[in-house]
Amino acid sequence: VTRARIAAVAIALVLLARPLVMLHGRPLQAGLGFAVAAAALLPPAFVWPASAAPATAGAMLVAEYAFALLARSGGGPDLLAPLMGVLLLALLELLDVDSDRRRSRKVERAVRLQQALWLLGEVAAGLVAGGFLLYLAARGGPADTSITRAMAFTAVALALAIPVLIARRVVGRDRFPL
Amino acid sequence: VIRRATPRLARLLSLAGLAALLGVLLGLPELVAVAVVLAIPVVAGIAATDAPDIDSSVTLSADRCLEGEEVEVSIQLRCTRGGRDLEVGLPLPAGMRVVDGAVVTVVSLQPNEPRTITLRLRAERWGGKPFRSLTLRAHGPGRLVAFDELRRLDLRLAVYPGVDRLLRGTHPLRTQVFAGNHVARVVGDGIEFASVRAYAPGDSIRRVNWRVTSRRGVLHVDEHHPERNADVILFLDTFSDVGPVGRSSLDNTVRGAAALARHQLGRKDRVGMVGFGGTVSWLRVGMGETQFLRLLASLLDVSIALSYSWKDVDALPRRALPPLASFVVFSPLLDARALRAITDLCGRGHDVTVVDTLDEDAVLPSAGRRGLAAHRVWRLLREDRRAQLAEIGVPVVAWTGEDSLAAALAMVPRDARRTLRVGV
Repeated sequence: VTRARIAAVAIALVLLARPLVMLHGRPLQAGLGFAVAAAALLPPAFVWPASAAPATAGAMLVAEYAFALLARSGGGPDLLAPLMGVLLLALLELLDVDSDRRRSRKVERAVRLQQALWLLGEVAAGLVAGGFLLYLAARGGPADTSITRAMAFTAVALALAIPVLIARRVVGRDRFPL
Repeated sequence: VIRRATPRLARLLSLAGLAALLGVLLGLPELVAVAVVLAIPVVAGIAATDAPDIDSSVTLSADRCLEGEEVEVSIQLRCTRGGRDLEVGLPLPAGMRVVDGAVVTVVSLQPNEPRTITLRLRAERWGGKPFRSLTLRAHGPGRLVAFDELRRLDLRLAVYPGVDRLLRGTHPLRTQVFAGNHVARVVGDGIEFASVRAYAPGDSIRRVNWRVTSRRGVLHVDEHHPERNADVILFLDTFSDVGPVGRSSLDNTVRGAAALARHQLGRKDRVGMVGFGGTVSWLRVGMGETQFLRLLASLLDVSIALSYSWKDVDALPRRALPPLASFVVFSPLLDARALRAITDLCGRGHDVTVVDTLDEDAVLPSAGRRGLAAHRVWRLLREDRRAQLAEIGVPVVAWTGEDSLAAALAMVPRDARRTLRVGV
């Protein structure tokens, strides 16, 4: 059991529990169903971190969070949403690190340091951008909803266009000899 | 260079896309915020990624070594453009092990910064060890896109087997015409006393045996055995290899052949080699240190090549089988083609000695009663083959590499050994 895996389990538990905290009564029971489904998908993600299991488990966690946001009582956006994104990012990163540790290879300390610094930068930028988006959403009235949606559509379009435009040669399987 | 999206990119994109889609469809800005957090690394990582340009070279500290020795491999790298962390892999040939370092090393490369990765390798098994490729995988920041490259190498490390010094080798039945260390069966000029016979015109006066002459009253002269060399052919059965790596029948074959070649060449014999298996190779007889090096080089290339084609000694050129040569066959006695070749050699009147290189105790039976029965049948078959060879006058000695080959060759009965002509 590596430290990365322990940290990943802790983060996964937080991601599972956080949507449930937002629910009460009957929605909580339905939310538990989502949580159980997500929890069932997490062990394969830990066992086979290089497979599609982490993405599937992550998708289930997003679905659980989406359900909690829909079913919760009380108005206003959830201000911890960017943090949920950061935790999801950290979970994926830790699973990657765990997968790397299992391979017999020697990694220089400088490489790990660079990766950690880059990740910190990503997290900081994500928190700022997500927080700004929520600020706009919380501040705006019905007229601003269209702006939020336009930004969301742009984000979706970007997310789908980037692999097509830039990373064109997407190979499904790692065919490298080592 | 192959550009490839990493699994990290696929994961981030799919989750960001899903969150954004759900956020838009359900009207939840929180999910859009989650999507933004996941999408920012993708955008930033891909924007900062540049195709790398890397110079590399690989050098070995030595191009030859002995089994068990260590060599250093140096991988020099310089990145002139792009790249951030570089995964460097050197696929090792079989029989090489990393002592210090790792087969795959991940280093941080700054532009124009020369780097050298040093690996210390131990040669655990004899043979020609080709280093065929160097694998490079460069990642940009965020490790979203990988640039894979396979670079061809032309490096070869010759790992020579450990060669034992033998106190005694094989004693060929027949000798050649050149001077050597073997006492020939014929009589002639030499040191070793052979017999006494009546004087004949032309005999040297110095060879007169005066004691016998005075007793018989007629001139008698001494006869001697001349010292001659012999042609020894090392016949290697390479049809099959059985046993654990390092102690397999082929390992014993190569080490035994090298030790015997050194010994016989030291005794002024001419030594040649025949590799008889899926592929057939040969080295004509020769003398001296150069021939020993030639033999070692040939032994490095001995390997098992699976083949179902029927072969016999007719596949060999006549020069590879000189007349009156003695054959020492190193064989695990498993393949019928090798046995047939031994019989053929014997039938051609050659002096043949078989060294059984298979350690039967190292071959364990499969589990279950059937496995045990099959193992017993297999041992019986081998015993039968040894008996068949003994029947045609071919001595078979077992040698598993644990003790000296000289001890095994000492078991060959010199007097009882006879080569018989058998029908081919």
